[in-house]
Amino acid sequence: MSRSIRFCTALLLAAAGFAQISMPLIGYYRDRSGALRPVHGVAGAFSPGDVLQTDVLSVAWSGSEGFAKTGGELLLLDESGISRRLGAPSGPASFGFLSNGKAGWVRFADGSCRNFGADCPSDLPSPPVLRLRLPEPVEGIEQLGEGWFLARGKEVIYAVRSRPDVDEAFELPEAGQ
Amino acid sequence: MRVALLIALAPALFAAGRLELFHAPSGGAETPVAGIIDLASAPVSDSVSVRFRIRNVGDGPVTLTTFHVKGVGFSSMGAPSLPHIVAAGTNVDFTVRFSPPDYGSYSALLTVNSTTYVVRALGEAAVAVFHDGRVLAAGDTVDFGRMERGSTLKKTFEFRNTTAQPLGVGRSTLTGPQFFFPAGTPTPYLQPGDAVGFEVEFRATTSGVYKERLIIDRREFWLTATAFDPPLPRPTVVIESGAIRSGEQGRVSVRLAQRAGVKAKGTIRLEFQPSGEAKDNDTAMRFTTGARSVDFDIAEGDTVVRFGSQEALTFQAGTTTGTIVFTVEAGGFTDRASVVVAPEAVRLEKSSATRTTSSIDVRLTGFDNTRTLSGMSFTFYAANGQPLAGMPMRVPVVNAFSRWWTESKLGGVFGFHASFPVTGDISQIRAVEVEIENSSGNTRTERLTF
Repeated sequence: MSRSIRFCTALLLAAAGFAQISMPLIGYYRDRSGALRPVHGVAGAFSPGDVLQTDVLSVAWSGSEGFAKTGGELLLLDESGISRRLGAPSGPASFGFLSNGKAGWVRFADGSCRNFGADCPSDLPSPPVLRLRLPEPVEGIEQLGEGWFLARGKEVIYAVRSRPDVDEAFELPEAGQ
Repeated sequence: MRVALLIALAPALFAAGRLELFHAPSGGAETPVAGIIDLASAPVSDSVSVRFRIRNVGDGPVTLTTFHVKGVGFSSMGAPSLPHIVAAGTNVDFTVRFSPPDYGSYSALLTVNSTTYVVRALGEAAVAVFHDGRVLAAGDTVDFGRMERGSTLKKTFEFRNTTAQPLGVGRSTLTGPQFFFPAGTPTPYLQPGDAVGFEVEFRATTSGVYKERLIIDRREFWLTATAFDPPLPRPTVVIESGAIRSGEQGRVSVRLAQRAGVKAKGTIRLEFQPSGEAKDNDTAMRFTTGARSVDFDIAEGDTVVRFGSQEALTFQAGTTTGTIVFTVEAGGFTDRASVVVAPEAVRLEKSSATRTTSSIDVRLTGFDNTRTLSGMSFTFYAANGQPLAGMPMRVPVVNAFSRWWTESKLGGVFGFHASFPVTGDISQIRAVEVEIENSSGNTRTERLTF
């Protein structure tokens, strides 16, 4: 066994093959004006990015892939932004992801579905329930990123980090002026 | 030749000036005046003034050597000192004032050089109006002064009968609701020599300059007063959060020393003084309104500034060590409060490691609020939980992070991704731990298994 360890050690490169530093992406969201934006940073230090698309109706990001829905298009998202645009029925949409974060399915407002890595479920999954009380009632909860939800209040958009033991809420700042 | 010269000079030698008297109302056309001049009547203790003009209507200069107004109750103002040369076509203005000591008919002689005019006027029986020991003439102004709106200014006046007959005040009126008689309208009847006081109050609920009239029978007096807004109470910045760390959101409010009695506008600013050599490039450090400056309105009655429906603003402390300074400016006041964001060891928000068929990927998300990251080492573990030989393995990342801090606009935030190619049986490697150093200490991940 110890020989095996030495063998592996000898083959493991002495330094990383590559290393890179970048802005951490928390996810994508629809701002108050209905525009699609990325949000970078870490919990409590959010930095909304530039508008990628206006007039967006629905957005979800799994942590590695995502969707956005406009009036007539389905946008596929990756870490660098919008990767594909597909024609789609009008109205908002619901999204599903696989457990590994890959795109799963899209259910449109007219009831039709588009399958990616999974079939549309017969019933829409129940929306997540937050384990904390926000300062104001929220109109809806969306998936902002891996372990992150977005709760849309009348005055504030809240970013809620969901951990196994507790949820933690932050105010998502407006885009920079 | 001598005859010709005399003839040539004749027009100059025989040019003569001639003075004529005109009535010259201010802003009106002048009209010639004959031998008897009737002035308007004036109440006793009041006065009437009429402006006259002496014009040289001739074609040569005239020297004014004699000028006077003689008669009880009459006086003149504005006449030049004598002698005075009045050039052809020019004029001299003066005013005759009639102030009757008692009721009755009065006359005076107005003499201009060799010409004399008779000036007549009538003194009306009327109660004199006094203020501050001085008799008021029609058109006089009494200034009540300045006051904070909502409060009251009061002035005392007095009616005096200075004539030899009993007199009454038929009508006392104040124009404008801001001035009023607190003890009712004064319309006294006074015996000769009697006096009675009355008060006028000024009260205004809105700021401004007020000018209204006090009307006593046929005489009118101006009353002026200024009401100003109360000063804004001193605003104070209150950092609700107390101590705050990088990556946290805090609350800041602006409180007033007392209830605001006036509307006002103000601004609160967030400024950052980074510690060490770090730049202020932390775009996350701002109010959640999206900016580092927020304008606000203060309403009457406020004791705390409202931002929309909120009584405090949320701010992000960002991810850079230093001092956050809040400055509020309103009503000419400035107040500041600051909070120190302490340096700390690198904080990791997310760390993960994955294994492929030929490499191991390590991803770290976090921040170094000192931006002094000086080393990163990796310890890979075998299936039996023991570290591989030669561990830990230091990876030279200092320069890369230095460049990142320079280019980034996210303060101390970073997303780090390293890939370690492996040849051989990669499944024998089961976990990794990462240790990161900065000027405030070391941070170690949990053992990341894959």
